[in-house]
Amino acid sequence: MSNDILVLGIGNQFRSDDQIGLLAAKAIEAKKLPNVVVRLEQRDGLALLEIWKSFRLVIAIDAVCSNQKVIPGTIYYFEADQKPLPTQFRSCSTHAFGLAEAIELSRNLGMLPTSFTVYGVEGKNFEEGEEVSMEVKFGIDQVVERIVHQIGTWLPIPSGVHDA
Amino acid sequence: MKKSSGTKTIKVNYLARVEGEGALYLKIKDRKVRDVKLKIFEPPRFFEAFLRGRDFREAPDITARICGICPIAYELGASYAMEDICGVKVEGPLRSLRRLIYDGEWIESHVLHMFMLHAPDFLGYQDVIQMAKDHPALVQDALRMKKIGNRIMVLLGGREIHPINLKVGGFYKVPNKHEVRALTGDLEWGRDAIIRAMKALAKFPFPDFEYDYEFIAMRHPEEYAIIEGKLVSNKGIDIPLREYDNYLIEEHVPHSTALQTVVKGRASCHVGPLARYNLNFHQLSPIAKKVAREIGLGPVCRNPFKSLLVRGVETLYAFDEALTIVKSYEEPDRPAVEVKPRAGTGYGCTEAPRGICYHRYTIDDSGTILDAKIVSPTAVNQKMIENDLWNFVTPNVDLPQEELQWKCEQAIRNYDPCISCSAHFLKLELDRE
Repeated sequence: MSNDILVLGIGNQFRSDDQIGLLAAKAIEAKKLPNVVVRLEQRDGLALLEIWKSFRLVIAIDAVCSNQKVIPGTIYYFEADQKPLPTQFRSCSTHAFGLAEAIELSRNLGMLPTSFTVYGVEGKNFEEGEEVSMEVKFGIDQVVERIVHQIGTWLPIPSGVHDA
Repeated sequence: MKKSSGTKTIKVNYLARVEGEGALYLKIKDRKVRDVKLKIFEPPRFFEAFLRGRDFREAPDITARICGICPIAYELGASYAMEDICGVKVEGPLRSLRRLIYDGEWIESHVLHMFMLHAPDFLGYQDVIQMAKDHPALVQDALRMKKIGNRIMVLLGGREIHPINLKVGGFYKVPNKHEVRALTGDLEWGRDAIIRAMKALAKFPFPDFEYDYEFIAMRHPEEYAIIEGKLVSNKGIDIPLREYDNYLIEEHVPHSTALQTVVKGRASCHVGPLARYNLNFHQLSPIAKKVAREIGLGPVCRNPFKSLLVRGVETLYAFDEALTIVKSYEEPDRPAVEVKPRAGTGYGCTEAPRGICYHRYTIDDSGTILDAKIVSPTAVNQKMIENDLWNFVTPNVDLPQEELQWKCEQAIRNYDPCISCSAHFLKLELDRE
């Protein structure tokens, strides 16, 4: 079990605003924070489960398409270790498990990390493309700032404390 | 559920746990099934059209995009067809590596379907997330088995979804002996894990339903056919691949964007694990045959619900064969056979997890693709799924609506339909009068 903090960026780099999670995670990686492991994941939820199962502190970032009148760039915050993600985080795909499903499967298997925070950023355009919408860029900057702050409250991680 | 003037209608907006989008319409009148339509309304994807004009070497990578679950079926089907045209044979360790990556695809696809999509049906769970609460060991083992299948795909294919290391003639790069041998421990664990799991699955309640199917699968003289062979059926088909189009006819029906297949002069046919098992049982490895018998499967199984167990047998076979390949692997002196284009038409067919996946291409002297035909196993099974529903619902019309609907969905999932491949999502409409 790792004592490091896992920052997990989720998304598809070729689907415009769907890459929000990837871009935010890359921005955090560039800050080279101690005890922080950054992973980018473009596959399905079952792969996610494999990645986070050896961590106790996890922060995941994903794009949100809530299909409601929400301003693009709006930030969502969930303590997934406390309760399931709301329905707009459920997978739109029939083909694969999404983040929400992977979290619930982890929970039911008793494999959910002790602290599991999910940040979402509302996207605008999920069509093919490698550019993110202007409105979303500000949301990415904000979410990065909040995550860096959250990590700061955890650091330094005293050796062994999370193995208790 | 709607009820008015003697008509009952059940509508399920989404049949979960299938790949892709479609709908099922069932009409029952006077306690008899009157109409069954597997409606596939996913937009056609035009792969065959946009392959035209491309270089023959591009076919494996383009067709890999047809499916994220079974890309190897497309990559190898395309490769074999091109090699057929160009007069090239891929043999020795390169051929073994092709079998090995296919074993990986069978493992990841079969395990995904068996445990994540199909098993919840038998135990009355809405999904694997709910099932995991009560059966955590089964689900954890399944996740690990799937990961091993993926690991094979990554080692040989570069990545597990749409692998990029396969080409006409072989591979771009082959792994060294050490990398391949490193799979041994995982494969041994997987072989034991699937045996344990099958013993648990064998206790599931299987609906009492059988049908005299025409099973179609490939057959190879020396092995349980996966990547090469002729086409055979239990009703007399015994033909080389080039005869495919003379025996299996694709038909357009208004309610589906995927073409349906019938055997010429006969009816629908059944492809996939059950077909392979029934036609080639004798060629399974000794351990696969032994475990099949131990869990109560004879050499012939006509109950499509037991396809769950047959997938288990095939998963065991795949682990077992992968181990044999891994242990005897010697690095080939080159990663691929050179392939020079020549004009002609060629055929390729492999056993995708869901059944035969047929490719036919015509290229010119420069290697430009002039014509392409690709038939996915789900497209072939489409009509048989309708047929099964018809036959399964008939003696069960009096079941409570909710139970009947559940069983219908389960019957569809017997085929692990990949609607995405065939043209994608199922909506069930049950109309009773």
